[in-house]
Amino acid sequence: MSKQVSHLGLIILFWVVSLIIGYMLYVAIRLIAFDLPYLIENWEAFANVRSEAVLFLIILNFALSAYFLFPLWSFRKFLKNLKESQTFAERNISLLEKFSVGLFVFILARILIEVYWRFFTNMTDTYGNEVPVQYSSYVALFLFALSIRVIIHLLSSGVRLKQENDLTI
Amino acid sequence: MKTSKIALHILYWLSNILIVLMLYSVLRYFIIYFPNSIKYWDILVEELGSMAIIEKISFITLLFLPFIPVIAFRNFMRNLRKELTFTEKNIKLLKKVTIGLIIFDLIHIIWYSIVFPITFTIDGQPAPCLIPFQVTVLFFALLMWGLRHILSNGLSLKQENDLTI
Repeated sequence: MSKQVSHLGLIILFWVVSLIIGYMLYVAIRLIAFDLPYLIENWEAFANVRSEAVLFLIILNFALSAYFLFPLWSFRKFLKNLKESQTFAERNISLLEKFSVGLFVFILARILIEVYWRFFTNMTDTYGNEVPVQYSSYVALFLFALSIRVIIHLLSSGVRLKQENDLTI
Repeated sequence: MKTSKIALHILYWLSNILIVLMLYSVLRYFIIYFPNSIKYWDILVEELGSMAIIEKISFITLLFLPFIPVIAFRNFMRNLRKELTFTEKNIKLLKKVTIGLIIFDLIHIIWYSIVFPITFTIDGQPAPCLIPFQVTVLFFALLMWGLRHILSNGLSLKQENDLTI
């Protein structure tokens, strides 16, 4: 029989993803509860300092992060199912499909936002230098999205095998 | 449900390209930078003291070590393309990827902690190195660890299936 692989990696991954979701929720609550009232109160002063394009960029970034919570939640659910030994189920494939599509949309939106702020705003770092493009983060996200597609492929092979197995019994 | 294999092909070719790029950077280092680093060795020892030798060894290890996980990952992708999905060999390959990436990250922590203070300064003082590890590498290692679990479950199922037939 095959050697059993430890659950430790799964458990760590599950908690890391849960922590990321928790942190994103904390930031969202902090923004809505503390920063948003301050922003509304001082809107005129703020709009004078920052251009409308930058304000739009902040809102866009916030909306994108909020959207990404949904695919991330699907991934967390998938990891939870794996922890509970429900590996080869159709439900897991659809959960991962949601996560993978969400990731591709996230990457595309990030690229569009980057293009927008590079061409329509005049953003620099604290020393006045141009901010370099973080290619590595895009590459890492793209590779991650592709790896998720590979897991979907593995799961679908497993589901087929399981169905065959169930039919034989 | 049949799924597209396009991601497999892309990842397979990307890992091939990565291996070629890594070979190129190793060659470049030994042809261009290594002779210079021997020439200016005294300056490095002056700046880093006894850590200079650790810095050099860890840097050369960082150049060679990624070959193990990347080649293992490439072979895993090759097996998947050939429909050899749930096999003991794939589980071993993924173990190599996971352990290789984690060791890479550990050595990266050593190297970065030595190099960071002499590379970056704040008001003339060495800057503190806050996150010396590569978060994405660690996350990818975790993902591969999780993938091993799926493969091992699939292998048990396959063996059960073969026994029934």
